[in-house]
Amino acid sequence: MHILITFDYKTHYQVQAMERKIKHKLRPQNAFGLAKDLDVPASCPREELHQFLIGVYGEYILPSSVYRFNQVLRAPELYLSPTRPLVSDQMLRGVWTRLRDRLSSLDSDSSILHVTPAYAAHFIDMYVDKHTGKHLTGDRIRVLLLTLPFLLRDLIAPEVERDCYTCSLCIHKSIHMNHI
Amino acid sequence: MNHQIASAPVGSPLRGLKPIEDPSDEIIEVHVSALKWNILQRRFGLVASDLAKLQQNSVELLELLKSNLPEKNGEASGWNFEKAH
Repeated sequence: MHILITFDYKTHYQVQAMERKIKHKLRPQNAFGLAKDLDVPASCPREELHQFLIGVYGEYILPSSVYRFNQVLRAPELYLSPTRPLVSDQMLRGVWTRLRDRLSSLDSDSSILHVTPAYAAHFIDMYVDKHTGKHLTGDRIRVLLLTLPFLLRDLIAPEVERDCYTCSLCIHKSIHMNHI
Repeated sequence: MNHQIASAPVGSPLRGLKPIEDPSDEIIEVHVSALKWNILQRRFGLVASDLAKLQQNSVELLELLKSNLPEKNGEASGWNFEKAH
């Protein structure tokens, strides 16, 4: 396979000038680019899939978002006794069930893309229940990048605003309805 | 929770706590910033000015991660980036 590599001098000098102006490397040398036979695959556009979607977004931003919600709901000062949190396990599970249901309610007619209940359950298994054997491909993580900014809105508003007894009743009712 | 905090009787551990705030706005701000970064870096034929803008977006994203998700996912090391600016 022959790959034609061209060098665009105009862009090169533009980048150099901008680097001097902002005093920062815009194209730092990547160690992968120096490895024999790895330079071309490492610079392929699809690398965005591993470095950004699976890496930054999937490995860091998503788990940190889940952690932040848990941190608010299970703050140390919100324990009625050392073993009795104000937000019970059932209520906490209700939050993630709500997110799962929001995800699986996306269909192509209303949202351009369709999310299956299996995908939504997989997301919860992976990011909430921390199943280490579960993974998502970059393209599937992109679905989350496109939808979560909308689906996370007011995720724990019912727990924050309502009293915990009413919340538990709602969750109990919702679980009961799912069994019918 | 806020209802119970507001009506906590004397002696309750909830008495006097500040109302809890839903962090979804701050979390969404991070996700939107990540989406913006991704959209810009996918643009075909980026020129130097775009790269400078992308670099600025990267800095903003890293700062947002530190301010809006300060505990990362509970790791002691937290966010520890190479200097981006």
